[in-house]
This record gives sequence, C-alpha cells and structure tokens, in this order.
Amino acid sequence: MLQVDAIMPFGNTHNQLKMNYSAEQEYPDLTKHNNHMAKVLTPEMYANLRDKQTPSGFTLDDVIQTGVDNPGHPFIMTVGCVAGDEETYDVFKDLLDPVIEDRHGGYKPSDKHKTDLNPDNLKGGDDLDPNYVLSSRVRTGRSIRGFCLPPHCSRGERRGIESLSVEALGALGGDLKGKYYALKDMTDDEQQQLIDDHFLFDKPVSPLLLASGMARDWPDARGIWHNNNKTFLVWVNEEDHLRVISMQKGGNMKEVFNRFCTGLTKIEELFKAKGHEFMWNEHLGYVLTCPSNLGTGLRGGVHVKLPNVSKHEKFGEILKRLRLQKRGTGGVDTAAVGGVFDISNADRLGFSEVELVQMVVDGVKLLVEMEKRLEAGQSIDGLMPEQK
Amino acid sequence: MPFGNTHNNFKLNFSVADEYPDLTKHNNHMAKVLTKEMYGKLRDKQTPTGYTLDDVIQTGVDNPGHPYIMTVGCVAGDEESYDVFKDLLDPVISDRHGGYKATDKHKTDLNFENLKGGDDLDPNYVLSSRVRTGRSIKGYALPPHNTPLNSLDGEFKGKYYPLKSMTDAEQEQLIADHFLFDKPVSPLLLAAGMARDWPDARGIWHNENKTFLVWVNEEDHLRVISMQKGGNMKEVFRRFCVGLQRIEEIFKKHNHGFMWNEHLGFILTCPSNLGTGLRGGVHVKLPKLSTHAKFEEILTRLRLQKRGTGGVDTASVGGVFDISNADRLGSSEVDQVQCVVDGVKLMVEMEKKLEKGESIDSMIPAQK
Repeated sequence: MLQVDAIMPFGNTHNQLKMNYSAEQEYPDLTKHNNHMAKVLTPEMYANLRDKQTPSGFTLDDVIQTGVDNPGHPFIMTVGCVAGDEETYDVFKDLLDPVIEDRHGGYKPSDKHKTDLNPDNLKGGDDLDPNYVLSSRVRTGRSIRGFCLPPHCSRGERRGIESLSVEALGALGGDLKGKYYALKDMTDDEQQQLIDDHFLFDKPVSPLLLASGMARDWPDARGIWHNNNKTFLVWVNEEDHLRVISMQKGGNMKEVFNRFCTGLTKIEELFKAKGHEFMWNEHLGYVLTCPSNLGTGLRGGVHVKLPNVSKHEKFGEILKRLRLQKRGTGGVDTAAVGGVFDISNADRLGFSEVELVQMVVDGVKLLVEMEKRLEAGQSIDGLMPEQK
Repeated sequence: MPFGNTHNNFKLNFSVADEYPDLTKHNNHMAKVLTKEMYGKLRDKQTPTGYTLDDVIQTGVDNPGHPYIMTVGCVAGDEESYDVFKDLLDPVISDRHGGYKATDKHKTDLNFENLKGGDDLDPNYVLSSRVRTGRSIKGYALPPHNTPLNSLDGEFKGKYYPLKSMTDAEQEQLIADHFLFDKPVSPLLLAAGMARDWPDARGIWHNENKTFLVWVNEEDHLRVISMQKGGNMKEVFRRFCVGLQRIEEIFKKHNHGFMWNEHLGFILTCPSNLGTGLRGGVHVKLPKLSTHAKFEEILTRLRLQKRGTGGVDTASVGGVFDISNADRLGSSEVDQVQCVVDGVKLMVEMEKKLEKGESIDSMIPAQK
C-alpha cells in the first residue's frame, strides 16, 4: 500500500485518497439502514461505481451521503440518494434505475413518461364542496439545464439561476404579474407577511435535506416570487432550482390547475427565449434533485375535513386504491389537526400531470361523499373504489 | 451541510465576483480575513488529497457568527491545508492566537516534571481537574481502532467501545461517567462535514481506573483526556503526559507519527487548536468571585477562560465554573497548565477573601 498522509475528519466526499482504500474499506455500513439506496447498493455495485464522476465532478459518495447519514425515517421509506446534475441519472444508472423502479411502482429503464400540461384535459374539478375542501394547491419543480442541482451547485451557479429566474418571472403579466423577495434582503415586514400568507420557506432543518448539501451558503441566492393576487408562487433555489406553486382557498382545483399550467408554460417560454431549457427527457420526464420527484414532480392536493372517514378502518386502504396519500396540514412529516388532512397524489412518474390531478379531483370528491355518508350514520361499503 | 459539492468542476467558469461568498453579515475569523482578491487567488488551488478553498471555508460561510464567541470559520482537511491555503490561514492563526507570526516557532514541552506545584488546589473549591488535547495521525488511516490502544498496560490498561456496537448498559455507564460523546449538533461542526457516516468508526477508549480516555474520530482523529475528581492537577498532568507519550510510541511502531511541525506544533482540524491543542482546566466553585466586577479582567490577565460545567456554549450552574487556559499556540503544554494551576490557586484565595467580606484589590494580578 502507498504511504500517504491521512485525511482529517473534515475531508469531504471528493477526497482523492479514498481510491487507495479497497472498495470493502470504503463501502458504507448500511446494516441498520432502511431506505431505497440501502436496499439497492451492494458492495459489488459500490465497487463498480466508486471511481466514476459526472462531468461536473459529482461522485457516488455524493449521491449516497444523505442515505448513509440518515438510516431511516420512522414512518416513511426515504430515497437516500440525490442527483447533483442531470448526468447523475445516467452515470449512476446502475444504482438509480433500481431505486427509481422500487420507488415508482415498477417503472422500468425502458419505460417512457408522458407529459401533459393541457388543463383542458382535466374533467371536472371545479365543484369540490368548499364546506369540506378548505384549500387546493398544485406544486412542481423545474431544473434549468446546464446548471448543477442544489446539492452540488456552486455559489456562482446558484446566483446565475436566481438572476435568470428573476428576469423570467419579471416578464410575467396579467394575473401573473408579481414581485421577487430575496431571502437575504427581506425586511421584517415582508417576512411577516410571507409567513402569514404561508409562502415563506426557511433554511431546512430536516437532516435528510441538510446531509445532501443543499443548504450550503444559505440564504445566498434564495428567494420567493409571487404574483400580486397571491395565487402563484415560485421558490428559487430551495430543494430544486425552481418550485412552482399554484394555490387558493376553497375547492376549485380546476382553476388552480389552469393557472399552474398557464404559468408554467409561460415561464418555460421565457427561459427558452433566453436560451435556457428545463431538464427533461422522455424516460424520466422532468429531472429533479430527488429521484422521488422525477416525472411530473407534481404534488396536487387539498386540505380537506375528513374527521369521520379518517377514523374509518379502511381509510388507509381507500387512499391506496385511489392512489392518494395523506399528510398533516403542515406538510410532510406533520400530523393532521382537527380532522383536516392534506390529501394528494401518491405518484409522480409514469402518469401525466393531468392524470395525477384527475386522481386527486375524483378521489377527493369520493372521500367527501363518504364523509357525508358517515356523518349521516350511513355505511360507505357501497362506495369502496377499485384499485386505480 | 456540505457534501460532494465544494468540488464542483464548473465553478471556475464563473467569475470570482460570482463565486465569492456573501460575508456581509458574518463575524468570524475567516470572514474578517478573506477578501475577494484572496478568494480569487486561492480558489483554483487544492491540496494533494483534493481539498479546496471552498471546503476550508464552508463552515464559516454557513455559520455567520456565534452570539458569544468569535468562531474560526474554517477548517483543515489534511496537513497540507495549512500550507496550500496559508494566505488565508496564517492571518486567521495570527488573529486567533494573539499575533502569532508566520515565522514564529512553537515549543512543545510534555515533561510533566517541569510543572511547579499543582498538587495542592483546595478540593473544597476545586471539584475536578482535567487536561485534554487532540492528535492527528500521519500515515494510513488508523487500523481498526483498538489495536494500538489495547497494547497499553499498567495504569493505562483499558478497553475500546465502538459507538455503533455499544450495548445499552455500556452506554448508560459511559454517560454516567461523563465519557460518552454523541453525534454533534453544533452547526459549526456539522457544516464542516465531520459527522458524515456517523457513527461508523467512532468510539471511546478508557482505562479501567476511568482517569484516562481517548475519543476516536470525533472532531479530531484522537482526543486524549486525563481527568479525576479533586484538585490534584499535577497528577492529572503527569498521567496526561505519560499516557500521550506511550500512545505516540505505539503509533510510531506501526509507522504512524502524529502530525506536527516546528511552526504550528501539533496539527489539528480546527486552527484554534493548533500548537498544543491543550485545554487544561478545573471545575471550581467561585460564586462570589464570579459576580465581582473585575472577574473578566482577572481571567484575561491570567490568560484563562471560563465556561459552564457542560463545556463550551453552556452556562455555569450553582457558581461552579469550568476555568481553563485560553492559549493553545505559542506557549508549551507546561506553560499552559502552569497558568491554570497558578491562576486557579489565586482565584480560590480571592474567593476565600470575598467570603470573609475582605477586598481583593491588592490581589489583582498583572497581565501574564
């Protein structure tokens, strides 16, 4: 073995001496781990991939660090790996294809993903009962081709993304006209207002996110843009380059989705006019930082009052058949309060945007009917859906 | 927390102005020193292991400042960091270590017989005594943890407890003994990348007497601690020196020296610990002195610092303070422990005077 100087505990995942150690010595201890990465990454796979890097220098260790440092979540099966750039999904396909397959219901490397952002294709969705459906929201992410993703981007890249985004968003007009608030220049008043509007995002505290490197240099080049009507919102440089959100009170998901699609399409045109595309391919759809968000990156959902249905023994089963998931009203990792749940699509990849929002619309409509039945003391056995 | 990103190959396509961090709200040693010009000069350099300027500074960028202490804001990734990035680290070291110049030489003295006194601190006031330091291993990565330490014998005979395979009973005992360390929560440490892969290859070794303890792979490769109840700092320091030297001999036999040079002394991860890496201190009851108007001034003159009894970033409880040497670089181990011994002896006398309602004005020391 070569005599080399050892590395301090502070050395990072691009440490050049690690190749002097055997794959076995470098392979992480995953015996207590329960995430998608840990299920897939064998010592042999680690050995095959450990000397590879993407053109921007993202390594296997970079991909998996968050999964090594976070053995598992008590309630959810986490992904345990992230992409640092578009090429990650290709250079590390031996790892990421099986992770994607496991996470996205058997999606194969040869499958094609369909994108459909035509809101006219959504049926109904404008008549969810506002006595039960308190608010409706659709979000997605977008990555700007040519830049590294949040776990890996440099300050210069991140600032470049910010200035491009601010320029593009600044050109939006009509009901989309709005303003950008950089996190680092926000006044106390602006901050309070954004908190009251439920728009403000802050430095993440989740170790899942922190371990991937996405919070470096916070709050440099992070910000929030929203339209004057406060129904269309863009987060810049949080977990993805862009997170695009359309939301409003009540149950008119159709309108929310209309605005979502119109806004997204306009933003994409503006970026293209400046010579920048979104990362997209016909296999993975929109390419985002976390493999769980590939495809549409879309989470469409409502806050809905279901105090009776949620206590029904078949609640979990119903959601599963409708391809929906529940969260608390604080978002992922929170509990429901007062019988109000966040109900959204469970899928991201292998279904189009229209299909996913259709599931939410149809599923929530059914759940509200079930809630009314149970309120009236009636059975819902006759309403049980088939597996979608 | 940064992982696999400060080595991004595209960043050099962006201008220095685009890549230079925003340090306008920052207050740490790195932020005081790192100008845009300096960033421009150093940003394309790396050490032989691939450590970059961005790696060095990430913790300081991500942690603008501590409310009470001036943090360092940069770390080394290897021995060569202190050389490749000397343009940044030399001024940081100078600022942090009382004007220590790039040409200064550091003296190492681990001969415990050179310590005068220290065996008679009043145990009615001095509850416990402790000396710690760090060591970095030159050469290969440490072989499976316990081999070198397990060959210690006599008063140093002991056992290694790896963090990841500790039993609950062992864990309870180590907590009760105040020995256990856990994954850091301080963002200062986490942002530097030191907690990656926790708890892999971390552990605690201690002798059967529970007076000599080694932490493996926490903030440094090794942290070596000698401690016991009461005020016999002389004994604590003797055991510290003897134990350290035994460990060093064993490591040398395996062809691993400790990182050391005549300018910076012992090379450790944080620039604040260069030189001796030594923090020697006591837990001492000073309820009256600590509320005296001149308490801080006295400490400064004695070259001592105070902490709460939970260590750095904690408050004192019941008038009991952790009093230790403030210096690390530019004075030897014996010098620093001597400061503690002499200074604590004086402060206990002051405490006794104040208890009797007498003044301590004539006892205020000159600046050491």
